[in-house]
Amino acid sequence: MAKTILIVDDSSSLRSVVGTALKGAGYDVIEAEDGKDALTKLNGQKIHLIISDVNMPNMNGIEFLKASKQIPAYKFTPVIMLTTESAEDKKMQGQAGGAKAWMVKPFQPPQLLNAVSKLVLP
Amino acid sequence: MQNHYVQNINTNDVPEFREELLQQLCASLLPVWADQIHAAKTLTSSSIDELSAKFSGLSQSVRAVTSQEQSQSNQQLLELLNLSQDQLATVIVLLKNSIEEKQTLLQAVSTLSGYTKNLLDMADVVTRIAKETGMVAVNAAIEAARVGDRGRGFAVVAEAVRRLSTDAGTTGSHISETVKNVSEAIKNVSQVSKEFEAKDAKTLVEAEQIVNSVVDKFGHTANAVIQASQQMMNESQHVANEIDQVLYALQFQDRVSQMLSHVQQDIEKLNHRVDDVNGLGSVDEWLRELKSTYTMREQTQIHEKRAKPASRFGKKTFGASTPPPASTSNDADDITFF
Repeated sequence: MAKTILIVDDSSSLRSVVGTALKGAGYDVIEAEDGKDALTKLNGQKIHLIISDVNMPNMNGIEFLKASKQIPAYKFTPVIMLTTESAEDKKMQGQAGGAKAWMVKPFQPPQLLNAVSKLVLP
Repeated sequence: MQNHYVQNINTNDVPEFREELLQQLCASLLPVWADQIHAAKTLTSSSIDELSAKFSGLSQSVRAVTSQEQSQSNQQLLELLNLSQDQLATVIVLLKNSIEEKQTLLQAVSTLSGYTKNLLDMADVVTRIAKETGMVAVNAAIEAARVGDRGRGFAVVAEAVRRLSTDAGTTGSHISETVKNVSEAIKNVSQVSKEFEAKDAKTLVEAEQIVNSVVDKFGHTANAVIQASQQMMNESQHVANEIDQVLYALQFQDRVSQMLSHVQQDIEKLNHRVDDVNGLGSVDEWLRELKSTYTMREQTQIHEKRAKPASRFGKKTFGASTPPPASTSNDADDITFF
């Protein structure tokens, strides 16, 4: 049974890149184009991991992170923030919001898959 | 009208006109530049999105070709080859067994041939005994005739014995003749069987050669197919990796888009403030505000390299100047686990 990962990014190309890497490793992928769209995808379906951008329209990644932790079914779903942001204060916001990892773009697929495999429970 | 106005101002001689010209230039040009940047960003984004989607589809298609199922097909072909080899070898073994059984039958027939010689000897013995018994009967008849009437009964017995010996001799001859016929038939069977044995041996050798040849050809073809398939899989894997590298390289669009967005927003902000001298803010304030919006190291690095603080102009500066905050750039690892 493949694990399902939710990708949240306003860049369609980034979603394609991340999705291709994850699908190639055997994961199922759900895409959302911003935090608000992502919340509609958290509709009770089993999601094993969330990979979210930070700077997005409508609802940014930090706001989405905090909102997702308010939903009991996804309270313990691990979240990786994948962003161009590398500032320490932003990372601290992610950590405070409950993110498990902070990854700076551009990423290399093996690096991302390594982080995913560490956080997705068997 | 504006252009006419701009062309007739000597900006070098009249500072206040120069300031007004700058204000008008900003009001005219900044929205254009902002929109041009926005258009360029949108065009780049849509094109890269389209490219990414196509490369992503290509990557998945190519990976489907190199899937485990393909590898399993090769494995199945190898297993089929081994199975065919085993089964054809079994056919050869069955042929060998059949020939060995025929040889056993031939040996049994040969043994029978040996028995017919014994039977012939026994038939000769019967014939010889019949002859001797006949001689005894003739002598008995002679002796019976010599004693006259007293030997008449004995003569009758002697005659009966003679007839019996004659019959026995005839039967012995028949047995001998029949045994000879049987022996001849057995010899014929034996001869035919030997011919069959030779043909069987030849057939077996030929069958073995044909089977080995077919298996070898099948094996060579299967190996060639598997090698070609493996080579295709390797090539496909290489192509898939190359496509993935292209996809990953396309991440530049996200970064470029963010940089252009910041520049566009900053131009629009400048355009809004340019009409209000009090709201324009100092150079240092602008630089700080710009820096606070950066999300990437490159932006911060460019800013630190190119931005000129107000003090470097050596002229009057507008608005209060406060020390800049600590740099937000970060050289930490690209991934941090919490």
